[in-house]
Amino acid sequence: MNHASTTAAIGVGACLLVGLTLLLVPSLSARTLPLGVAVPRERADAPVVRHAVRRYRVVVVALTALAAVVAGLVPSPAGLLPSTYGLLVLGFAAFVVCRRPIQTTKTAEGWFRGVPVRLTAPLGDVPRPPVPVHWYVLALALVLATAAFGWTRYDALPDPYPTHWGDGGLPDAYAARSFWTAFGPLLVALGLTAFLLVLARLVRLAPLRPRAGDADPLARPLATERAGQSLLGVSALLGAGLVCAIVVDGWLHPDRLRWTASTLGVFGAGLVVAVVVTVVRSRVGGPAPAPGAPDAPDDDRHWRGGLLYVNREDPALLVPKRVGVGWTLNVGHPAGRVLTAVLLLLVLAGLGLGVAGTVLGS
Amino acid sequence: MSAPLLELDPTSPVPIYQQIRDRVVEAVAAGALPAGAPLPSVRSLAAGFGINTATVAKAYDRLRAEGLLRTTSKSGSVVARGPGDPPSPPHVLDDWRARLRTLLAEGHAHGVPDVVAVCREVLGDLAPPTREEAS
Repeated sequence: MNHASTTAAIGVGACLLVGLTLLLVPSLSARTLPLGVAVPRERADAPVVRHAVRRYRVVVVALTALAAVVAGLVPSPAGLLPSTYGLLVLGFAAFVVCRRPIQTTKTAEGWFRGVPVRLTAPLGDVPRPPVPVHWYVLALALVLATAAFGWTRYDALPDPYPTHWGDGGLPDAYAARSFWTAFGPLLVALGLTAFLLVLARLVRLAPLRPRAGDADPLARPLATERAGQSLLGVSALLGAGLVCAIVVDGWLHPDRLRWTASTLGVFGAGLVVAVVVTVVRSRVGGPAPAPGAPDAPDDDRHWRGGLLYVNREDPALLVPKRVGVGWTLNVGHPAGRVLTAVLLLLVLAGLGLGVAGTVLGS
Repeated sequence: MSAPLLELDPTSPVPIYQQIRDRVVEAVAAGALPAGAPLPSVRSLAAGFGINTATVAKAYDRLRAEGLLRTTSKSGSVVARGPGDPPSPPHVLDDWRARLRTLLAEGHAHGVPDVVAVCREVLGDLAPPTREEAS
């Protein structure tokens, strides 16, 4: 496989991964939250709901195909960035546009009028799923084993040592061989593992938010939390594995990286399996609720675009996501605003660096 | 024993703090919250519902004033008494009697045929063990 086709394959693979995730979004939400719109149970299968979800899926498939074609035809790292990010942004836009008819019909027909609703919370401590520490231990062991292997290879590494590999896996930047140039990325992997472990402990403090009407209201939030915890742990191991594979590739083949495609392929496949397992595991809803059981209240006003949670009254910083598995920041919380701004800056900085690197490199 | 679930109706004209107070009183009467049972912290319960902490604090203040809740810096908020304990102080019972009078008057005014039978039914639903032993 030549350089161009490898880069194209990576670009197409990244687009398919993002497309698959976007396609799974409706399946990741409760039945009463189609495309992030709160609806009463008796309206969950209304024609406008089914039509909106179908439309979203069709648009996502079309966008994914388009992005994959663009990524395939522009086989350079520059093509990877716009097509993948573009797909993500357009996918969100499709989500926001497709959910609108549900909201309009819900308001016009007064779907919640006369429907009994309840807010539910446990009046005491609920034992929370433990953090699956084994994933983090495996990630740490992998990094340590890689470091030990690197220790044996250190004297054989060229000096100066490549600090960056560009197009076609060829080195395009060098620095004097040192502990930092050879082992630096492993510290990043350690940092990532530690960050995800801290996050895993933090989310156990987030409220469970059971939805009224479920036969066992805590079953779904607890299953979702367990699945989310596993996804965090698996991500730590996959992230550490990705970094270790790239580092070892550099140590063994400093003149030209050879494992990039297979490394990213394994990483992507692992991510797909992890996401699919998470989807399956989080869809525990318990038996169907008794007829006449109350619904969860309409809280659409707190969810901008069905995705962004803004509630100044709510003291929780992290809340379970309304769409998908995991947690999201409460932007109405003072700390939530600061963290959102920091995250946004990090994303923009990452994009800026990527674009700058591409422009300077070309 | 798993923690009982508290349900609130955000569309009800009854204020949320009052609903929290009422549901806790019912849980104490039913034995779901025995004396000494811990209640979540104000912040934790407010986060559970996604409501203002002041609302939960107000409900807890009421329960404390009524002698049903005790808050210490060591163990947090715990249920202060159960249905089997000796009766609460006279001022608490006088207040309850005054509210009961209004409630019974409402039933009477609405023409409920047998108010006493309804009272028995409600007490049966609460099923406090001490009351059954006494009858």
